[in-house]
Amino acid sequence: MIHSLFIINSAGDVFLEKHWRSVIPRSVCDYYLEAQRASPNDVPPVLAAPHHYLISIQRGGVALVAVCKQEVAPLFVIEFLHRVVDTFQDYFSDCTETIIKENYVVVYELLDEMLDNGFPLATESNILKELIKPPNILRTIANTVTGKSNVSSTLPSGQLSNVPWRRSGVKYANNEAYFDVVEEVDAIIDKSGATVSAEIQGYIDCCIKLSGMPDLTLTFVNPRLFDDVSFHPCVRFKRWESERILSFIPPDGNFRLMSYHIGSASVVAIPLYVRHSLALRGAGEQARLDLTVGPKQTMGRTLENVSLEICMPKCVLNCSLTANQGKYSYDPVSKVLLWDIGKIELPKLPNIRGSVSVASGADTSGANPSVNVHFTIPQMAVSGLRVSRLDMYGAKYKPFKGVKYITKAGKFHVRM
Amino acid sequence: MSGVSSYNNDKVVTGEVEYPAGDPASGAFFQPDYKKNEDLKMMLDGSKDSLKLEAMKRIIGMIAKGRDASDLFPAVVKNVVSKNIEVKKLVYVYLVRYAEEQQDLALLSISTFQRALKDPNQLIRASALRVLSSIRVSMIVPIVMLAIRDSAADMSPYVRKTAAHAIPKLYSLDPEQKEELVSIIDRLLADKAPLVVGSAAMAFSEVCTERMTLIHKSFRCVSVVVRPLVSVVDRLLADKAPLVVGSAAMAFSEVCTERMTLIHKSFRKLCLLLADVDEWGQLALLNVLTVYAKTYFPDPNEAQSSSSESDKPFYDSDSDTPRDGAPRRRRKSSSDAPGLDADHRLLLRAAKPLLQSRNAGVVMAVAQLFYHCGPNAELPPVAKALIRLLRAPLEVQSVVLNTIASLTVNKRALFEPFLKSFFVRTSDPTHIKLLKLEILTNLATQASAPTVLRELQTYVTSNDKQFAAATIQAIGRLALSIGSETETCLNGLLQLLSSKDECIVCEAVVVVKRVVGGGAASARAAVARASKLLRSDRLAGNARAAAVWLVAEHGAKLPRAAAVLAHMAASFPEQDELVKLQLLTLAIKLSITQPDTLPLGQYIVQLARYDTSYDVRDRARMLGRFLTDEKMRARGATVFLEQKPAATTDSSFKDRQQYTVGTLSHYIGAAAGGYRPLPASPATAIGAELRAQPTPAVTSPQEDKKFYSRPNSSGSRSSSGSGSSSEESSSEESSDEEASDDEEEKKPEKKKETNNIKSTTTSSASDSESDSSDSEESYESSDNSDDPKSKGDKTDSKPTTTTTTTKKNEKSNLELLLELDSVASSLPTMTPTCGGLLSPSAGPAGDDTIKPVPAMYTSGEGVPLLSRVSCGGLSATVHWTRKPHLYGDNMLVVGLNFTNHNSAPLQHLRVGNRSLGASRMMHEFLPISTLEPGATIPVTIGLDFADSIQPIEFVIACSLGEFTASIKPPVGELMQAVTMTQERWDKEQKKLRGMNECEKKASKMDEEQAICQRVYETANVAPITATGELLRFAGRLMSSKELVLLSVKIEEDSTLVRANCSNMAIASLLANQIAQAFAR
Repeated sequence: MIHSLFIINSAGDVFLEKHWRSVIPRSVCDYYLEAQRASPNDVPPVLAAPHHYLISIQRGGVALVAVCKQEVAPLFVIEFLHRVVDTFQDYFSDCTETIIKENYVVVYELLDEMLDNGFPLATESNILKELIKPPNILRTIANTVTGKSNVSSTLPSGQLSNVPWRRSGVKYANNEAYFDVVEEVDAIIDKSGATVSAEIQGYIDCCIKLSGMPDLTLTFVNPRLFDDVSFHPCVRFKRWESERILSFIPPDGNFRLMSYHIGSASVVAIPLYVRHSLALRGAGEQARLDLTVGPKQTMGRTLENVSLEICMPKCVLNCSLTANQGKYSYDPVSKVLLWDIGKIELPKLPNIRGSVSVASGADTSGANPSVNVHFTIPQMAVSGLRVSRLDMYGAKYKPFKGVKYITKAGKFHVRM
Repeated sequence: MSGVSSYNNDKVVTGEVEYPAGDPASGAFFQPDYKKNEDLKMMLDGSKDSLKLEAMKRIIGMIAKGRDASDLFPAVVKNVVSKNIEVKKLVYVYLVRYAEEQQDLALLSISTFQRALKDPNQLIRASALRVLSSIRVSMIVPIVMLAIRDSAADMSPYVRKTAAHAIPKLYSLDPEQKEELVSIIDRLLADKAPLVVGSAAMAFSEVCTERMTLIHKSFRCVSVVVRPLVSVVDRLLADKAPLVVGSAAMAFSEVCTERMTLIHKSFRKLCLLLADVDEWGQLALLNVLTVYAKTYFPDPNEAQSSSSESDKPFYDSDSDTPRDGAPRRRRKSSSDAPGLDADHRLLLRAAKPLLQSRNAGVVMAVAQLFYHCGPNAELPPVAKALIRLLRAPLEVQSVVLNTIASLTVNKRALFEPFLKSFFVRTSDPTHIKLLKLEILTNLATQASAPTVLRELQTYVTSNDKQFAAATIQAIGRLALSIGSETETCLNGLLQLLSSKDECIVCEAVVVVKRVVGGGAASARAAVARASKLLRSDRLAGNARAAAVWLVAEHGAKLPRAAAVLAHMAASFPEQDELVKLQLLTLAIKLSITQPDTLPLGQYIVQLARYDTSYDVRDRARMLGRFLTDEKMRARGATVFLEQKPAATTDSSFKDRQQYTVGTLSHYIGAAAGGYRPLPASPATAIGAELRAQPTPAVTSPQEDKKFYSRPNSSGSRSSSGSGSSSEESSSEESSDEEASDDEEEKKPEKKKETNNIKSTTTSSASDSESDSSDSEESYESSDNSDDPKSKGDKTDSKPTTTTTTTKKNEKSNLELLLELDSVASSLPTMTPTCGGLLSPSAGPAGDDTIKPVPAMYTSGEGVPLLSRVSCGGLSATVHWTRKPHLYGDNMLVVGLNFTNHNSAPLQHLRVGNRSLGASRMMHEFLPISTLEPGATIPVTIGLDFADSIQPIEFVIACSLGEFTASIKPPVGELMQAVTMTQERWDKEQKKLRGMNECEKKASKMDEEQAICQRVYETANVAPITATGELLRFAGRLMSSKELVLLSVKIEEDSTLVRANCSNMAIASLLANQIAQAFAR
């Protein structure tokens, strides 16, 4: 079980520590720091120190390092650490070093509630929020004036109820339920433009503000599409299995209802192509780069927020390019060329071309740059998934309902 | 305010610039300045809550930052009494952190916690207990013990849960408290609130894990605990809050292997419950069930090993893929094969939906279960779920890929369809890339090899050198494993030899060496290329050695080799040691195959003989023989040119298979501390009849249950279910399962209606059983299922009643009230309001009880109560009979002798007014109508002193008037003699250490008998051991029934009297009295 937790910033300073059992000196973090120094972006999540095991995650520029002394499922610890960060994000809207430092008292109180003696105690955010009120300016002022604290003095009801993710007595003037169907396309496109692999990773995020204890059912037009799904614990799995209907009592506020996977077995539409030519070898120290991006299989929607991230080979010194749309920047240290295109409006195809200066005498043979593509397509789910209806039981009012579809690039990768 | 400003000044002086902003709190956060602590102290000493809060916040900041804030301890501890909850909480945090270092000062806070433990707010009580138990100071063990004991009987389930959580903490602090803790756990386990039980079970597992080593010693205790634990699980099953079962599961996971027998009874229900437990609980529960399944169910794949094909060795057959797919699908359709035990199937079916959990840990736990205990045919969905996790955060990916990498070593077919999911992206961190590469290599088959190779080709050119090198290794492995691709791979590798990148070339040479060593046909080409490289002097040490080896091994017959040797000989002294060794070998081989190179060889040997490295010199000396000695040369060919077996390359993940999939040990490839391997599966299923034994009873809030996805229960599970039950065509298991289902489902409903459930449920169960079953065995199991049940009820209820009576004698009034629970629990009645069923709780077993015995000694002489002088001729004496009173065993029987010294008879002698304290009682004697002159009449009264030596005063009225009498009991009379076993005595004494112990030195007494006599005279105790070094006596207080343990140790020149009693006053008084008695 988890003995201690250290939070470390990107510079390698331990800026917060919390011990649930006996105190473990922070020097134990040196094993982590060593690994981090060796390769900042490539720290193995589990490190074995002589007497301890360090299990760490990195998010938002900070690393959470949990120290365990005994055999424990690594995914249990990793999952828990992510839950901790999720909770911080929920409370402070972000999880960075400055924010944690600013709110260290609340952070400490939260950690105290979430884990007791190394065992998770309360991780549901609605229970936590009743125990410890999230800070906001209004409350801070009110607290200073009235002398109240943001620590609750009573036990939240959810703790003992059988719907631990929802507190009782929720009330809203406007009852609304919004669903965002977000699909991310993961693809690898090879040099010739052929698709090496393509998958769709989708999730349904909800923002539900409904009074009372509503019971919702969400029906899809084409539920057969789903290849593999995972649900928020509130979803009744049995009904899903028998009827392919999502039936659930929602938590209050924002949460991820389900995530699904549409595997490489089914055909995935690739909504964009990149035509590229990079000739490093031919022109000696001056090489030419020519890139064109164009839409493909977008079902009539426009591609928005398109941006290309090209990892240049090490031998590239600088680029001088001209783009007919958007802006570009080149970072000579990390060798990343960033081209921010924006919206693609036909018939004009965005193009960038120009010369690339290569270090003299460098070996250019093995270099193969790759392009990471980002884009969004609003109002479309690339898999063709559609929500057919949302029904509500258990409450008398009529809620506002809304569904939004978005397709995004996930790990969309073009090899050059 | 002055404090704040001085603080600011300090900051300027010390030049602290890290956080120069105006916010004092954040500034303090980073300030290592010690003077500043002064004003923190001032703030804490002040009366304003806001200042205190501010100070505490800063101090917490220091702690969080890892700064030493221990010098503030005295100032902080004072604030533990603060009314402000937030200040209080922060003080708690501080205390937990520093109490260990400042033990003496920490004791100051204890009384506050004790008070807080009685706070009306459950949250405060709970957090007080949480903190108190987290303070790792061994001195307070008895107090924590007491607090836990009290909190375990708290009204609020939340507090009781906290009490359960506190138990492992205390246990780790002082393992000697185990027995006492176990008894508390025992009580908690019998709790009605599900919330508590789970934690109790957790505590149990924590505390008792190590006990397995002591099992022989404390077997009785264990067995005491076992039963409640099982009943707890029952109750948990009926629980409204599945949240709770989580803690329970954690408990089990700690208990683990040796205790698996505990799960028998509750196994089926645990399976059913699985889906409703909270995610952390699911994780633990799955771990437990995996071990259980492994222990009691045979390996499903063993039975069908004849048809099992997916375990095939990796590389042998050509038609592997198509053959693999078809039977797999076929078997899946008939996956409910008769080979699988019904319970085993139940478990797998219950676990399967959890593959859809959002918690990666849970998914992995299910994968672990299926991999180790499931039939191969069930694995594809698992693989799918694992693939889904690849989209999770990096850390999760890493662990999952690790698992997959090890699974693919012998379950390749599983992940074959997902080959493309493992293609590497340049954005992946290196360790992920390496794992993916490993998997790709493991997955490659004849059919997929071209795809994989094409991928590998792009990887070779990666900027990431480590990854590129690993890719080359992977190509090498592919070349070896897939016969048809060897040529292609080798060609590719040879091309790499001419790469401009040195690392790649080096790696390639090493790999080529290995591949060619495997006896490839293109050895000649490889040798040609290698020799070319050697001549160009472009290879680094390792690679150069490999190239030389290559030439020596496969090119010894080629004239080119001699040229290479000649070239290298020129620079021999500058070569690396490894290269030199290889050159020596080459020289010898050449001299055998091409005798004309002999002089060259001799030259090399000469050079080597005077080398700086002794390894080289040794080798030269040894090999030189083959050049000089004719006889040896003749043998040379057999020594150096033998055919060698082909090299094989195994995945580096192969040796990880000894560890359970998904564990820490599996990830790091070494056994982590506390790792327990899964047991080997038995040949046949064990314990079916044990599982069939229905647990005492369950009330389940059916409505809730149904609502919240009554676990696993696909439609087929419920007896009311749809036609899908026909899916299980195999009659044996379906009938079995349905029967047990019926039982479970009908029971609760019936129970609510009537008390007379037993007959109805069992009959309904057996009815349904006989309806559906057509096999002999299920009849048997149905018999089993109701037979042990009635038996179990009998055996359960008996010990309970006896133990409750014995328990009653040792518990306080409050506890007695609470004991009502356990009395009630032995009755088969249900309280519909509570979620759980009252099932029997077990007390300590038979002969380990504390039995009252008659007093060892009673003094006949009386103590004057009323003197004839002051009472006009009436006198009375008191003597202590040391017998329990008829009217209540709290009362002492006190004998009174009234004597009339007057000449006239006394009339109407009786007890008049009495002034009794709270809880004190008196049972008066029957009024005496006449007391003749000179006569003496003995009477007895019953007095309950409530364990205090405060005198009881009452009025004795008679015809002469009223006289006030006051009886002050000697401390030794407040108790009743009891006996117990010596072990029990020792155990009890251990619990009463610390503040509950009082020691006195007394004058030297030699004879044991004399000592005993004195002791008996002074106190009503019974001997436990009346001879030897240490004399033990025991008694217990009349009212509270707390034990009084007395021991006398004979030392050199004195005797040591020690009294232990949770009532500290009694302990010290008693010790004093005994010491005085010895001094007489």
